[in-house]
Amino acid sequence: MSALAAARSVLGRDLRRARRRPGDLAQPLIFFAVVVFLFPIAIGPQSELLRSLLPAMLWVAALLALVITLPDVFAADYADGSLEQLILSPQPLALLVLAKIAAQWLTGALPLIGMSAALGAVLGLEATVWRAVLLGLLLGTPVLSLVGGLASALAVGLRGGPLLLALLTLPLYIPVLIFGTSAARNAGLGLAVEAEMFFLAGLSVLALTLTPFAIAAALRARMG
Amino acid sequence: MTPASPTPACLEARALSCIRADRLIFEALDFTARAGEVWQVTGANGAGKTSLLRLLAGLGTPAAGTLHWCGEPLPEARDYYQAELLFLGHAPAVAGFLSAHENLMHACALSNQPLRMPLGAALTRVGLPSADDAPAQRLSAGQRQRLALARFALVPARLWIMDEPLTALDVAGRGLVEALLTEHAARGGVAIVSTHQGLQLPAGVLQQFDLSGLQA
Amino acid sequence: MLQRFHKYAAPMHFHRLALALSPWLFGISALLFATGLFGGLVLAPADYQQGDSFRIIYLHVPSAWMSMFVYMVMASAGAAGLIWKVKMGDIIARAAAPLGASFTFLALATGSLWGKPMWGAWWVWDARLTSELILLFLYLGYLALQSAIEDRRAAARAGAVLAIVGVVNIPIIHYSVEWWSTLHQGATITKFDTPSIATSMLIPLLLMALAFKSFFAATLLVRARCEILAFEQHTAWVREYLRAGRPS
Repeated sequence: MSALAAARSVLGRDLRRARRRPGDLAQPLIFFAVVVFLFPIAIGPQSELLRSLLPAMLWVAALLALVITLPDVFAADYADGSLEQLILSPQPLALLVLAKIAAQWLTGALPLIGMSAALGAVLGLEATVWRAVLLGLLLGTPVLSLVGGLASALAVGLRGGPLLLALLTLPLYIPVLIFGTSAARNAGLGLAVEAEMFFLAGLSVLALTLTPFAIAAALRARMG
Repeated sequence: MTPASPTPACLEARALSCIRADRLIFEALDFTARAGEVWQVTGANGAGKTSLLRLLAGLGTPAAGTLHWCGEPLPEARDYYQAELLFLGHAPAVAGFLSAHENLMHACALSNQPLRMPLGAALTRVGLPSADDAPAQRLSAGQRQRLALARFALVPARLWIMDEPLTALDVAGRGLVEALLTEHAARGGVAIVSTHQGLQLPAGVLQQFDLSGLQA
Repeated sequence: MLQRFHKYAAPMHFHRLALALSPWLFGISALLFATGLFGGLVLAPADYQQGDSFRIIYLHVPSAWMSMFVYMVMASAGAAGLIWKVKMGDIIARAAAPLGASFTFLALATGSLWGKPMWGAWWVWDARLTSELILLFLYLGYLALQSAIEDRRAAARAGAVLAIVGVVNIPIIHYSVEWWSTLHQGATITKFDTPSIATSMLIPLLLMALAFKSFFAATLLVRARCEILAFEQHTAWVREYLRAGRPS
């Protein structure tokens, strides 16, 4: 079978897992909502202050909720022995890894983006800012999934779970956070957001070309 | 890059050492497995059978020593080594949320070799119902082991490395493993199997390798 | 000639070299520290704006330089171990990491001590300090990964992947943080910039930088020796060394 067919099989398998275990999908979304709702409690219900902080709250909550989904990228395969089969497969490991990350983005990041859209609208985000947050998330989450996948591969099977993953990923997430929130702020001020969006897109493309090989190297390093 | 052919299957380990978590498992291990041989690796618990099999499969780098497949050293020959290898680890690589058929289809997609028989026939060969939609987590441990063995019936590969293939299998299951190994050896393949239990194989096919003698 | 250096890629010879060199390097660094500190604390004139408190740059700036330099060393050594399977690469990367983290922490602490008399706050969200803080987290992530993985060879390889990815990310992070900082402050000079630096200040600074470098080299060799003994504990020469108490 060709390499693309193998990648499609890996993607299909992970998507099927998500479909047959829908509970796993809901957890990060609930966590996301809880984190967002903690802020008004902490800051107080002054609506102006909250509305100006809302894009930042959504971004931070999205990052944290995404980190929660990361152990699952490789943990289940590690537990049942499928990860070794993936590494030993003659098909290019970087391509198979890319398929797994694509599945993680579809089942982990995309629902979060949808949730941000919903919460943003409900909590009164104005239209231009709302669009900037969503576009930023769409352009930035591929990097987050890829870099997160790398951390997940490095930490597969280790104790310390989400905490170790958070330490490994969050410093690397900071550029995406900076540009995503900067775009939202500029949109709120009526300024153009092209620069930030191009930068996020550029980061995603860079990550897309380089990270799968890093993840393959990380898996080989850990499974030895 | 794949040698289409007839270089007879031959796996060679020279001066292999294995260190795991600062413990020296074995060192200076020499081992040659030729076409038509099934090597049974024995040794006490902790002697390093699993570590040896994983090193032979190419999972991880040995602390010292080299591996050669058909005369070529392994790091260079990795690509076509992996195309000719089937590995069965401790965990049978069966996804609980997929049906038996879906599991087997995924295993075939990961290999790049043309299949030896239709999927349904392979499932029947290992004694599983070929048209069952139930998720594999509903199968018993022995049935999941049989599902893992179905790959060996299905995908052509000259080198089989199996770690405790008889786990959870009943007497009929053991007969299945022996039959698969016999056919594999007859086709000129090499197999390296670690197991505590005895294997009944034709004379001249079965070779023994005891790791206990190499304890550091 | 290159052959002579090539043999030190083997842990056994590196160990002997490290044993011989570290006392000298400690001596050199002590000398450099003495002259650098004398030049910086005594000889250099007080800054007309900041008075005597600016003198902490003689610790702050070299540690910041070292924190970046050591990360590069860590990533290069890791790459050598991962890609070219050079054992000393793995060993040096693991040995260098805590040292780099310490330099980063020192840079942050001295930056903070400088900030207090200057701007009245223990911490300012200056672009350079924020980048240093993120670098500290990168180091801590590497160290956490090393301690979580039991097998030291696998840990070194995994750490190498992380360090290489970190090196690619550092320019991106640096640029992003600068963007972030100018967004909020406008295009002012970053607080820890010294626009032009007089020779009487520059020379002690360079001396301190050399002092830090030789101190790092000396401590790295000591740590590398310990890592070598741990990595090679099953070889004959290590067993002999531990038994005899000195190299054979």
